[in-house]
Amino acid sequence: MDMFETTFGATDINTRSALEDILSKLRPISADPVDLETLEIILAEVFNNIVEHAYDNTHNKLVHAQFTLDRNTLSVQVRDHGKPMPQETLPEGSLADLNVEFADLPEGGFGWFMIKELSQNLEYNRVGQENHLSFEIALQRSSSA
Amino acid sequence: MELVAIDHDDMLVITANTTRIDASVAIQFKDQMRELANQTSERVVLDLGQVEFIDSSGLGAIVAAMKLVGADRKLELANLTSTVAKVFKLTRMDTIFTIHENFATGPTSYAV
Repeated sequence: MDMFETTFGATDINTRSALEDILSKLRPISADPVDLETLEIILAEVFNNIVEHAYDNTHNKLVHAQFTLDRNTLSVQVRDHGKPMPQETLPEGSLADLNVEFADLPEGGFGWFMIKELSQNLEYNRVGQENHLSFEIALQRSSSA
Repeated sequence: MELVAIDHDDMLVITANTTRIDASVAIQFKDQMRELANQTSERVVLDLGQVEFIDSSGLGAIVAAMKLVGADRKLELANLTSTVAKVFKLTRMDTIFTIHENFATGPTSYAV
């Protein structure tokens, strides 16, 4: 079992470099590029949400992420100490209706939908002054074995 | 974040010279698209061949860009890479855009 952690200051730019850093650590130990694509899509949304909503784009705030890789599963835990989710629960994350007038096509609301579609065992808890989000990705290599 | 537009008579081809369209450049992308979309051409094709990753902000900015281009001459997309195609498929946005694979333009000819 492999495990590593990372902590970074919550900004859009840092999110970008944190994703690069995380993927470069996982690439040698989790070979399947499909799993890494899935992880990058989910994590980008999770981190963006923390930067924009939990921390309201204020600087000098930290995001902490922990990755545990076993044979079949990549488990991810993300913590921040920003505002709680509304009602301290995960957003519904349903996909906006695309059967609408051209001018009304959705320009947002994709993030939680993608997180929910791509992850397993997604859980959110407010613990003291912290948000704890965890999810898993079932690894391709186990399903093809 | 750089967009380069080349006018091919009946078609404006905008190439995104960036590996990522994410939350950190989404507004910049939309502003640049707004400027370029004002150039007149029957068709506007956005070549995303160099873009390895988009997030929901990037996707939203591309939808916003499509609206700026207008309903009459819809924004078309070309050369989606693996992760970008996955985001479009997952959100069903692949049903909204005309998407070209293996789209190429050259100095003397182009193929669709």
